[in-house]
Amino acid sequence: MNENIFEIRNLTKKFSHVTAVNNVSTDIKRGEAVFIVGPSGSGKSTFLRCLNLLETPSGGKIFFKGQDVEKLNINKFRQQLGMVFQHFNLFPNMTIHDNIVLAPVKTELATAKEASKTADLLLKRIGLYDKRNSYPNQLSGGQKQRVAIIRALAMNPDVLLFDEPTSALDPEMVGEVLTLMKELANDGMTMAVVTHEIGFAAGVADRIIFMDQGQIITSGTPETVIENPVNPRVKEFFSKVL
Amino acid sequence: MRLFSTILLTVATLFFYGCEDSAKKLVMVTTATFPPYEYVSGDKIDGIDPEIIIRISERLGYSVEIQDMSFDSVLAAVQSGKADIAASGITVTEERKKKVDFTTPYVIAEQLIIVKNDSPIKSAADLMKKRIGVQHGTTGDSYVTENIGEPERYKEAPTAVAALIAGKLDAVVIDSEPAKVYVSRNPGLKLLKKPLTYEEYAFAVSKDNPELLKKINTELIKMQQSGELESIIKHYKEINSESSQNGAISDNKTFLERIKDSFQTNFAKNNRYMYLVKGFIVTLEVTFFAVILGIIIGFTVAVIRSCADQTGKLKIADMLCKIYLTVIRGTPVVVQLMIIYFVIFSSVNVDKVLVAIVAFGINSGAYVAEIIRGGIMAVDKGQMEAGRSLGLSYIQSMKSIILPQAFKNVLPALGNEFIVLLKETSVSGYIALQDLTKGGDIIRSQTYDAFLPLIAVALIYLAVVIFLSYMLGILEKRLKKNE
Repeated sequence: MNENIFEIRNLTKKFSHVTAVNNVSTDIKRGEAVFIVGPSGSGKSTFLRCLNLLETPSGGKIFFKGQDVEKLNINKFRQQLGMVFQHFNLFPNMTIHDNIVLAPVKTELATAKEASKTADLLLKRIGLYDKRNSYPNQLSGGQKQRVAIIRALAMNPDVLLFDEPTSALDPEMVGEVLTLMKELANDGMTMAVVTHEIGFAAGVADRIIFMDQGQIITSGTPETVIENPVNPRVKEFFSKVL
Repeated sequence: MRLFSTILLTVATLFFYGCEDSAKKLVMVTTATFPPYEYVSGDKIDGIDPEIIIRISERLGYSVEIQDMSFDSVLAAVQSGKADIAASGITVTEERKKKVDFTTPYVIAEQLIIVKNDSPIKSAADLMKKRIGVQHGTTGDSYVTENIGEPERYKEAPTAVAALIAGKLDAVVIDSEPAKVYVSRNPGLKLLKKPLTYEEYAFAVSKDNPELLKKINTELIKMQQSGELESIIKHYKEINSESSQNGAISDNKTFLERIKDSFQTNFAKNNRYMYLVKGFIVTLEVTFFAVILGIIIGFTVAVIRSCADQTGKLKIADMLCKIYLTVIRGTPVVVQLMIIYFVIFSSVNVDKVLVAIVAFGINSGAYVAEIIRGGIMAVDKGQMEAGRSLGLSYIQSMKSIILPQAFKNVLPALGNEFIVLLKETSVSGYIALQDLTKGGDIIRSQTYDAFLPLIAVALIYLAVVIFLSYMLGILEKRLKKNE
């Protein structure tokens, strides 16, 4: 693998009473699909949200393509990341098409015409071109999440962050979202995914990070972390979920 | 807020109206519901006081602008410099002498007692513990307050007379000349022969303007000596007692005929309906621009406050907004309107419609701000996060994502606020702006009929509100479709 997209050093995030992320250090390389797993409340989501500064870190450093993110223009920095949320967060007052072109146009990344062309291509790719003039509430959960993913892709980001993208979906909708994510991973998209879909993670991840109580317990290939865990806590977790 | 609005308004005033040359113009204030001294006749204010002032001004080389306002404001207007001279059948009292300078008295008047024909009240001695109506701020008011008991204070004399007719009062105490007119027009009323008290009428001028006072006094004395003054007073008393005979309603008519007559007198005669039409236009004008100003202020304040809540920035602006909200929501709109007109704009000559727009706009802005802030808070937190994650700035996310959703959520509440605002503008009469309600008041003061003018005014407001609600319903439906 090549250059580091993210270098995270001693990242800590404290809320008033709890330390959600405690002294975490790791790298994310270009083209890597990193899956972050672990029990509920282990700080996975907070860690992910620190990466695009939706949470302001209490301590430690984050470097993005070699630069300290604190010194970057926050909007310019975020334009290079895509974020996919558990609850999709599509804009209900806009059509699907407008949801996708809003950010590229407003940030002057593309003209309205270019953005519209990109949006149409992406919609065709996920088979929802005929929904371009529909509103989010007219779509199923799976469709919404796939639109949310291509909305992030329309910004042509260096990395996609997924915060439990399938947790709010009905079981029959999970497959279509995972298929799209797998396609992206196969295309070489850099991804950081917080998920409870351990089986999916095992099949797609280049690397698994196991977190508990705000710390990285172990990190490595799916084989070493999931199939042959050494740490007793990790072993216990996987024996329960698999 | 006061400094801010002063600057804003001064700029706006200069921009829209330019500077008026006040050097050769006298502004006279009066309460034009006091015949024969002053009353509205057709388009202009006529009567003994306007006539005397116009004649004096002509001789001094001034032009005169006459403004109509409630009696409790006329002395304040002179005191604050908004007007040069108050001529409104004003009685000279020690109290008033402390605030303004008086000219030599031009008439000696009596305070008379009006009662119903069948009233048990025979003299001033019977007034104790009775319900007595007065015109607020008049000598009758202070005499009754000091010597008899708390009276019921009406903004205008005709309202007090109407209340007496309706049985809400036992007696009305007002100046002799108007009292005679009212009694001659209402067959059910009579005057007690013995006056309650005597008094002198004079014009009031600001204490800062002794020169004007001297000039007026010189002319006034000349008019007195030549007998001109007496003939003016006689002339106006005559035309008023003539017109009063026309206005008397005879009793042997059916209900329908009387309604028809009343309709004729209140609306058709002398094109009186034009007071309602013109007032209606002013009301719409004030409401429309106040709504726009309120939305601008409301959105700005709501965004500043939400930004401070969500990001912890803009602390000072947030503080100012909180002060604005507390002050505006904590005081009545009438008081705000009068403060803006009499205090903030005391030294500038500014259009009253503009003052009303600014006052109601600033007032409405506070309510709109809290409504919209509620709407912003009701939008899911994830919406802002999604916008920011895509690299949009806070303002961009607010403008493109949050506010459109917030606006849709609060549309019913906003609509309600604008309906309230429309009706609140009915207090514009306090600064003598002739809005719809004031238009109805003028008709009432001319016809001494409370029923039809009030009903007409109410129906017009009602029609506008029904129309507004209907339009809002359509807008709501259209916005709902986009989901």
